[in-house]
Amino acid sequence: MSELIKVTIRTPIRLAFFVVCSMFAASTLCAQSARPDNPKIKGLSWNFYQPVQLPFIDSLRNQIKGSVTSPDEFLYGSFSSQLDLTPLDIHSTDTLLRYVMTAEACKNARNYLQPEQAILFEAMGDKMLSKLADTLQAGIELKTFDPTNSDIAYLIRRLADNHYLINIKISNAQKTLGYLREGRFGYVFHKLTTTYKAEFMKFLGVLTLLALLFFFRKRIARFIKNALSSKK
Amino acid sequence: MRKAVLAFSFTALVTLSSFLLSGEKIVPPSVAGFSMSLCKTGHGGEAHSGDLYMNGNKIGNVIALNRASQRIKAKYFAYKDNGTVVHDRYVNWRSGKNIVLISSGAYGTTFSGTDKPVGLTMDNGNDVNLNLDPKMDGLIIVEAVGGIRASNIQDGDLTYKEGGADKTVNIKDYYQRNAFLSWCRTEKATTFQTHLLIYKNQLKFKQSGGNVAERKLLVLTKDASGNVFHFIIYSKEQQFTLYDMAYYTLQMFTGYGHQVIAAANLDTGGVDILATSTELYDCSNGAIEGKTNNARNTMTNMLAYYYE
Repeated sequence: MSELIKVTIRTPIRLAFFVVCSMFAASTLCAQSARPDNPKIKGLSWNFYQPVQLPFIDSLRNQIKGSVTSPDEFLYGSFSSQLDLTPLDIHSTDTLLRYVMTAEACKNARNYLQPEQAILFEAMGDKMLSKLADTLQAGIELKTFDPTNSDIAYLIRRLADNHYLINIKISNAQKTLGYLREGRFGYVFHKLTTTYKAEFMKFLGVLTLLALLFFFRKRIARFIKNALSSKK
Repeated sequence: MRKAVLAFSFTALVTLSSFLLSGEKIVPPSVAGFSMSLCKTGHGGEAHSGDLYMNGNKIGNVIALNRASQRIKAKYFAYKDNGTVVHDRYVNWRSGKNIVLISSGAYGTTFSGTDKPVGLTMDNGNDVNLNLDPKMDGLIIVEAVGGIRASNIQDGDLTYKEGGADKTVNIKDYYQRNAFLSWCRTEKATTFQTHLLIYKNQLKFKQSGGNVAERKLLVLTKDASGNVFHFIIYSKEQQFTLYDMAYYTLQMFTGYGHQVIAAANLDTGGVDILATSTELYDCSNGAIEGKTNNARNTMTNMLAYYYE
C-alpha cells in the first residue's frame, strides 16, 4: 500500500490526477487518463512564473477532449493541485513579481477571450493571487511580515490593484484615534459608555484614584509623616 | 492646576457613580424574547415600520417589506465608483425614485479613508474585492430585479439562473467561483460577503459569547403562504452579542409563523446609518435613525430599498 502511495504521489501531476479522479471516481475515462503511462498526460507540469500560452492550453484541451467531461475543469484541477504543493518564496521580491505578472496575464484573459473560454485562465490567476493574498494576510496576522515594509507594502498595493484586498485588522485604540481625528467625539463617548463600558469604568477608576492621590499628595505625605513620628 | 484636578476628580466621581447606579442593561437570553409592533404603513401598503421590544420594553425599530408583488426592490452599493463615494452614488441614483429606506451594509477592511469591503464583493458587475474571506459564511446576491438571495458558502450550493436554467456552484472552488463571477459581470449583479446568523431557520452559531453592541440585521423570511418579506431589525437602545440577537430574532419570527430564510449582520460600528421615508416612522411618530446618520459620507457601502 505504501509503495502504491509512493508511486501515486511521485510527481505533482500524478497527484493532481489522483485528486481529480477521486472527485470523478465513477468515470472510467478519467481513470484511464490518470494512468501514469498515458501519453496524453505524461510530462504535464505548470510554470507559475511564466504566462500560460493559449496554444499550449488549446492543444491540451484537444488532447483530453474525448476523455473527460470538462477539459477546462480537469486542467484547472491539475494546475490547482500543483500550485497547492508549491510553496511561495515570499522573501524573493523578483520571483514574487514574476508570479504576480503571470497571474495578471491569466486574469486578463477575459479581455480577449469569450467568457466560457476565459474561465480556466481566470481561475488560475484567481487561485495564484488569492494564494499570495492569503500568505501575506496570515504572515501579517502572525507578525512574521511587516505591512509597512516597502516590499510587502508594494505587494499589498499590487494585489489591491487587482481587486484582492487584504483585511488588515486595526486595534480599537487606532480606531478611536481615527474617530477623534475626525472629530466624532459623541460616537467615541457612546462606545465608551456602552460597548466598552467595563473597560472605561476601570480606566476612569484608576484615573480618579491617581487624580485624588495627586490632589491630596501633601496631606497624605503629612499623614504618613505624622503616623511614623507618633510611632517613634 | 489644583482647581482643574479637583474639578476633574469631581466630574469623574459623578460619572462613575451614575454608571454604578444605572445598573446592568444587558438582559440575559433566558429572561424573555423579542416582539414587534408594526404601526405605520406606507409605499402602497407594502412597507411597514414600528418598534422592537424586549420583554415589553422598546429597544429599537423594525421595518418590514413585503416582496410578494415585487414592487419593493433592493439596491446595494458595494463600494465607491471611480472616486464617487457611496453616498454620492446613491444621491445620483435616487433621482425620480420612491425611496423606502437606506442602511449601512456589510463591514469594511480598515478604518475610514482606506475603507474597503471585506470578502468577495462585486458591484453592478464590477470587481471590488475578489478575495473570499473564509471567516464569513454568508454570500448575499442582490439581483438586478430587486430581490436578495442569501447563500451559505459552506454548503457549496450557490444557485443562480443562467440561460433560463438553474446553475449550482461551490464558490470555494476557484474554477466554479470564476464561472459565477463571469455570470455576475454579464448580469451586472451585486454580491457581498457577511456573517450569516440564521440560515434555513437554524442558528448558525455553535456557542454564545463575544462583544455586545447595538445590532442591525437584514432578515429574509417567508410567511405561511410563501410570501417573502425582508425585515430590518435594529436594536438601537440595547446591546446584544450576535448570538443573542440571532437567537431572539429566530424565536420571534418562529412565534409569528414565519420561516427565516436567512439573517445577515449589517454594520453598526463606526458607520451606523439607517434612514426611512417619512411614511415609515416609529410608533411614537419619531424618525427611525442610525447612530451616525450625520456621517453618511463615510459609508463604505449602502443597502437601499425603493418602491416602483
